[in-house]
Amino acid sequence: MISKEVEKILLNVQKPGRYTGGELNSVIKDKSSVDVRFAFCFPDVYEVGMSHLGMKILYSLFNEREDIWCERVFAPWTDMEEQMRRHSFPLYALESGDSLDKFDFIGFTLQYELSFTNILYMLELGNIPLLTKDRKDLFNIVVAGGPCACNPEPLADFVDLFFIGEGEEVDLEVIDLYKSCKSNNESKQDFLIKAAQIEGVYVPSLYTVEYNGDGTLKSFTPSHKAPKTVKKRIIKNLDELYYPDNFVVPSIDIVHDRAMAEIFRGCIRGCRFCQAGFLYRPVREKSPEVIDAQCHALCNNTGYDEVSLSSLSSSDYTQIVPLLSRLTEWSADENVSISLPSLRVDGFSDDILSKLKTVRKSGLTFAPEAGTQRLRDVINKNVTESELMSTCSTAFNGGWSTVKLYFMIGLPTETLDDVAGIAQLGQRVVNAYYSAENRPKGKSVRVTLSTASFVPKPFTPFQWFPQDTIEVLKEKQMHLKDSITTKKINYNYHDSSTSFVEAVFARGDRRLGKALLKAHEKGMIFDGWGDYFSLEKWLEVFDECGLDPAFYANRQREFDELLPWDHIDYGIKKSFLIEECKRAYNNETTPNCRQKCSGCGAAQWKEGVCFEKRKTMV
Amino acid sequence: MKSVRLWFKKEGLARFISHLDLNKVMTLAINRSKIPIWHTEGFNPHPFITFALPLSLGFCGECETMDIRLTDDDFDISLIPERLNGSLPEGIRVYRAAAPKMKPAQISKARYEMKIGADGKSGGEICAEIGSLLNSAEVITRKKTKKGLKDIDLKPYIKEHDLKQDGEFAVLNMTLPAGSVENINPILYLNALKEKTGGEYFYICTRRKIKNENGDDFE
Ligand code: SF4
Repeated sequence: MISKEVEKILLNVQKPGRYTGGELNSVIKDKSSVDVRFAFCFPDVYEVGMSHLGMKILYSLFNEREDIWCERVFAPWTDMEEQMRRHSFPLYALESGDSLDKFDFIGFTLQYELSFTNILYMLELGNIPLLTKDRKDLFNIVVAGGPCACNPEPLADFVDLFFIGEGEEVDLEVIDLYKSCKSNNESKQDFLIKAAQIEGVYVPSLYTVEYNGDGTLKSFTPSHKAPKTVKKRIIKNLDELYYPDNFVVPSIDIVHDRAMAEIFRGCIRGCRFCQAGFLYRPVREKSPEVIDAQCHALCNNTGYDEVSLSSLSSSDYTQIVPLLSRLTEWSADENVSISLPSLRVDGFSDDILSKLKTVRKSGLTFAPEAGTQRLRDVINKNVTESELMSTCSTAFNGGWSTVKLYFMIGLPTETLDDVAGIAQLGQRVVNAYYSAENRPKGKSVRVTLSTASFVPKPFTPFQWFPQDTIEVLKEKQMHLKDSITTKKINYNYHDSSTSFVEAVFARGDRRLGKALLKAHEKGMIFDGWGDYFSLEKWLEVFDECGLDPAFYANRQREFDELLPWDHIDYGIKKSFLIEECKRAYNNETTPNCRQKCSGCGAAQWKEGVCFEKRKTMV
Repeated sequence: MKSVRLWFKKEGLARFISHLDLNKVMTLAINRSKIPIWHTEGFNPHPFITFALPLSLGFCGECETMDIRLTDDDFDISLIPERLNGSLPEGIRVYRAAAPKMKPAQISKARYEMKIGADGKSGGEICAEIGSLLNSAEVITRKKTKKGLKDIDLKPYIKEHDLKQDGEFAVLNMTLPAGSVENINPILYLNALKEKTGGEYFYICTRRKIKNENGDDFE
């Protein structure tokens, strides 16, 4: 329970509901009867964090255990920060109202690089010393996991221990080890050395780094018998994996306020820009019976009237038809609607589409990612223009008149012609509308083109690629703008300077810890929010730390360079990534995992798509 | 189809749930409780719920009401409070279900209790400050209207009130116009106080009664 004192200050903030706790299904335990207290921290505001499926899963999983109490902590918005500082209130967990320094574990989920400053912000507000070396006891252990843990180096000074890969098993193993070390009165160092022996655990303080004269890495040396490379953990059988039958139901509106079910992990496609597509290999599916039962239980226990089926690419789920027919057996009667967020519209019949909510509500969206077929081949995005056109035509004939298309600019090998190709593609969609005979009468078409700037990420075939500079990206944006000749096309683009800073941290090394610390001293927070991000300030930070951001973002790396994340092993062979990179530069595509195995290395887990029977290709 | 009026309390931390969010909280609780509630028709059917009188963010309420319609006329409405209470967040409790007698449009006033505190001041001192405010010839503050901010004199509205000390708090009880015709938010008195003294205060404001023109409880 949060204290009466906090209640007073809540009267002075915009959205007090973010800071109260007390939601339906939140878990309250007696702190004297648990052994381990875990503060699950999401380095963003409540509405964003509470929408995150991974947090819901781990919260329930931990709290299933009688000896663990897991609580939630979010980053307070600046109005609350001001109140907390003024009244000297430390950052607290929503369940007990206790400050972070009362917890055995302080765990962060790393979803995007621009949230790193918020980690320091939250630690400081919670009275936790920022640097690993300043936290001497076996208590207040700071841990982190999630996709950005794939390159943990920029956070190495602050985080005691990283979870690599899927957390459901390894998290509990580490908690158990902590319990036993605690009862044996062992030191924090003893605990960390032992933890490093658990597969999927990376303890940065056990490694020393040397650099070459040109700033690149020279060597990475483990000590105390820590493994040379840390291998990710995966869950082999998703059907047997714990899944919550209940979510905390927020009392205020959040970003994704609905029941969610995971239908599979991984992605068969191998788009070369997509980090998630490589980190979560191999594809492992859940069976329709299991998903159906989980959805039904969740709706019953939360009262949600919407379920979304979550995955990286829903139409690749092999059992989608049986799943939807099971779900629709009860969902209509119970006024529950089903939505599939990441939809490749081409994969579905009209019949299925009519049962789904997404399409109805949010309009048609496609992500061709690049404007020309050549460039789509480079990035291995296997969508052809004729597929796109035929789906659009069907949709226009069915009464649609707005389409959104998503692209990236700054992709490897991209020329200004490829950029102009985005506008031309948009124009052909406009034309398709006017040649659709049953288009809505008297209505004009609206095509929205949206571009994000490409950020090269670790563990993708483009991990060596120099990101376009901000100037080049801006030029490309302007070129695209100038290539549009009709008012029926709207163009919007993401700010390229945030992508630049994202690129620095995505492929950064340990030396960036200094920059994070400096940024923290300057009060930089919420960099993922346009209102707070400042390129100028970041450039100042890098400058004052003697770091060159272009070294990380805009430099071509060689295949034989030692990369800051080379000691982390996601099961994808580096030789495969090199091969994929070369194919990209030759405009060659690679078949998806269901068409043909390309031998990426993920088959070592002996599960999932790597062992499915493939239809022989003709 | 029958209409049912539900009375509920909203207190403690639940006072930080806004009116809009309250609608959502109630909808989910009703979905979960499987009460045979009537859904709106159309593209996106949802349970039909109306609230008689919105409560400001940050206020507690002791006799809040919402109306629903049941599709099953034989459903025992006395079961509703318990069924909903298992599905509501901390601080919201439904305590009564009955057929509505009045229309929400008949609401004309509400009784509020406002506990006011300030760091470094005793209840007695705050009482004195409030007393002097209410004794002034006029109590001017600004009120948000559809046409923007407007000066308003609160003096004429504060006919029925009493003021007492309760430890570190001053407690001001007052009856004010409420409803769709005229609505005076008690927070305006606190604003006037802040303007007068330049001090900072915190408060817990509770709506204790909702009444019609004759002073009968809203039933
Ligand atoms: S081993 Fe083959 S089938 Fe398995 S994920 Fe890699 S490419 Fe796909």
